[in-house]
Amino acid sequence: MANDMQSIKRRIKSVESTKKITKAMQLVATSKLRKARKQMDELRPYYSKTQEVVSEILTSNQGMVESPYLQENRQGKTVYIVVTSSLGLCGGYNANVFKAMSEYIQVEDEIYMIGSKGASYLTHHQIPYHDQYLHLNTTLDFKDVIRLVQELTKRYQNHEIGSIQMIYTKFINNLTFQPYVMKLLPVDTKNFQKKSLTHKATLFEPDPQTVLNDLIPMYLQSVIYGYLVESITSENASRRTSMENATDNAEDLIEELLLKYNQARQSAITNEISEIVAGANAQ
Amino acid sequence: MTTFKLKIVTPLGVYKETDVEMLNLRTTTGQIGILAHHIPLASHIEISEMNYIDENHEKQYFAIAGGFVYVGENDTTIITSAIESVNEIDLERAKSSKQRAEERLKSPQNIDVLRAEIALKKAITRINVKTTH
Repeated sequence: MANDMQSIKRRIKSVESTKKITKAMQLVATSKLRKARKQMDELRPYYSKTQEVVSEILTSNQGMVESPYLQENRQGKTVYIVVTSSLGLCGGYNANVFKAMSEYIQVEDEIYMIGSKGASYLTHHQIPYHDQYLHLNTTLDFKDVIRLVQELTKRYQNHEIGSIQMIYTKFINNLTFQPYVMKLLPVDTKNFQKKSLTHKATLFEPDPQTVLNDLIPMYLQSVIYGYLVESITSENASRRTSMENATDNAEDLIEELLLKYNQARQSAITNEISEIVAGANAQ
Repeated sequence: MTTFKLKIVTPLGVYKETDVEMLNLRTTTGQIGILAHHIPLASHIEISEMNYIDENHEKQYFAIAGGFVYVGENDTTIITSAIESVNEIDLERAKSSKQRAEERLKSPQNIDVLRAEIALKKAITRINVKTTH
């Protein structure tokens, strides 16, 4: 009996220390989530303004502008940029991205991986990938995004790449996030035409085509960076939720174990008393 | 003089939102000055010096790492990956990055000439803006 009590006590202690860890991780994730959301909001004007100008050029010069970024190269490969996390313990975040990956990515497609969890997944499945931008999700260096876009647009213009897609996790709210596949190149003009614009003759210096060709890489940078920050927001939200659940579970477990411990203690006492009483009666 | 709204946005958020009298910048086709009531214009900006005259008739100087300007009806927006005012420029850092870029251009096995040239241009712009104003 005493043995049993001790093992229960030991378990309570271990669950308590686990709870402490998950609680701490939950707090860290919460503050990171707040930071990521703030960054997302700060990025929005950059992103929306670029998009606005691109859509204005496309609508005001419908069918008149020709840009390599608007046409699909049929013979080229498809490139996927995939955002995963570098740390574990974030619930189904990575698993959902992997599911989307296996659904969309074909054997001949190229993968640019961001996040080391995704990298180890691909290594495990013996799928080749580009790893130059693996740590972009922790550094969040805009210069690296510029470099990535430069590399991709160059290869796109050389017809090595047919289209560019990005797999990221859309942040809907603190509890809901979903992996999405977005087409980055060729730029889908349909996305822009919904917006009705009041603007009339805008002067494009030197001409709409050049402006568009300069602007699209900038647009891509902002979109990629935006999706990246959004994925990180989802990652932290996912981690926060799963750590919250873990903390709750630990609390339930502690309660249950404590009850068991008290029962064991009570029965030990009862046992002792009945032995004493039996001993006294015998005399 | 009439002023117009100028908004400068970077990936790190809105850098500046202010009323200005005149905006001077260098586009791919050359130096341009923008006053209030300019017709709508969209153009690429070079890696260059940029300045504007604020409401207090004072000229403010900046080094801009390329970008995009969009002049709308009532407001003008500059979209850029990086912009620094005279006070924000770190001269030592700019000098060392200039040196680094020059060394990279000299080394024969250098593959990414374009990148080094851009870095050099940015560093020189920063140094010029800092030392002349």
